[in-house]
Amino acid sequence: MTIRRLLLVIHAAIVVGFVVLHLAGARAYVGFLSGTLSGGAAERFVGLAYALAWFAVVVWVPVVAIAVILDVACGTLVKHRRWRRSAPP
Amino acid sequence: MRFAVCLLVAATVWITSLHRWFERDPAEVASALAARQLALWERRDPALADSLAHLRRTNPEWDLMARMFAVLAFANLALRDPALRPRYLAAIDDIVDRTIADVAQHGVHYFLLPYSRRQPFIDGRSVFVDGEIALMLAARNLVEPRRDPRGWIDRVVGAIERGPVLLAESYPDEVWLFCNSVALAAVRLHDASEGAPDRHAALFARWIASARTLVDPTTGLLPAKTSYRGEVLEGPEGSTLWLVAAMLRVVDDELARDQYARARAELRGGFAGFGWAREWPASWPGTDDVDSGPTVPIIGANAGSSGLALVGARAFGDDVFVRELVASLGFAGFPIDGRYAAGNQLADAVILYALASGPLWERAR
Repeated sequence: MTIRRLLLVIHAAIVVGFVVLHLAGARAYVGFLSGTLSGGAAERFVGLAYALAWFAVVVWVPVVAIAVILDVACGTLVKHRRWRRSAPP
Repeated sequence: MRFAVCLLVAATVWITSLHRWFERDPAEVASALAARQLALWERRDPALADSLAHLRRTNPEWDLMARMFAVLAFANLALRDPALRPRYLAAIDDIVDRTIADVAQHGVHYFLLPYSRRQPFIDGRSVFVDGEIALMLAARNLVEPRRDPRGWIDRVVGAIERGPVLLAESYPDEVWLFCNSVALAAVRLHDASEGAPDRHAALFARWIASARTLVDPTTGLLPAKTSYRGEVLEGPEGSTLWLVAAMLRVVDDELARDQYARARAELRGGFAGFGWAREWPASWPGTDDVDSGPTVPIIGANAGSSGLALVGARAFGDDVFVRELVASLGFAGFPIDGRYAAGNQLADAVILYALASGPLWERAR
């Protein structure tokens, strides 16, 4: 498995985890951020997991996705140039 | 190596454009918050009772503040939308009547932290409680007259006049500029509602002159807390300054603008289209407490100061800072069904007031 593919799998797993937490209503438990969430340790854990997943999905995952697209594009361009150089006139 | 460069380019492109996904029209944000807040207060929703009870467990002051900011927001919204005015006014009346009944039944300590009982008030009462009730009553009357607030107004005027430096106590031998500026705004709104906006102009002029002697020599900012005799106990704090500047707009626009500009220069933070506010200027470092709320390390973004910065930014028409703060709210406030999940009832009321503010102060000026 290439590094690119590994990155895509890891980040796809983060997105799936976030979607599951979101659909399960975990967004309502992020009140721990202001220190005013009523509830126990389980609610805090769910809220923390949601907040981390949110920031990962919104900030980091798109960066990796764009980087992979750019990398693939660059790789294709380099291959194309090499092919054109090596092609008989 | 190539992937590292791609990662750097991608990070630059994405991070610098991320704020665009979270920028919202302030009116649109206010509309969702207003609908939920009005429904909560109208129905006396159990969710509201839970949320206020939870606020009280953290800090009983927040219960009263949540009520005051809701009333100020509803008063502004009542002026903005005459069709909904009867509903907003009914909600205001309910909040005010409940609050006055709570003070009558439990005393001023009901809305104060337990240390208020450690020693008696030098002057007898708390301008935090009296000032916020006076402002709620005066705001209501400025929209449409109802209940005569003169007793509350006279009480705060008397307390300020008796103060050795024209500052009334919030806690025994403890003066908060936040509470005194709220009380002064209440006086001005009341006078405006009676068609005599300059009735207390002489008191305001003396108060402003006295307040100017308290400013921090390094930053030029007003302190947050002094003793009853005017010794500075806590220096400038964002969670106080933004509101003080907004309240003082109806008392002395020059000092208000000066304080807002200085607070902005000292406390505003921002990156890539997102904005926030620090609680303390670099020259007055402090530590998080029950008033300030949590602070994000390194960048110093403080929840309490950032929320109240929105009040200041709206009061002074600082559209750039408003846009940045609203973007930050969308990004890190976790909006859900007309509220911010990362905050609480007080935070929602403050944000709604900030976004709805304008007409009430215009009427008072």
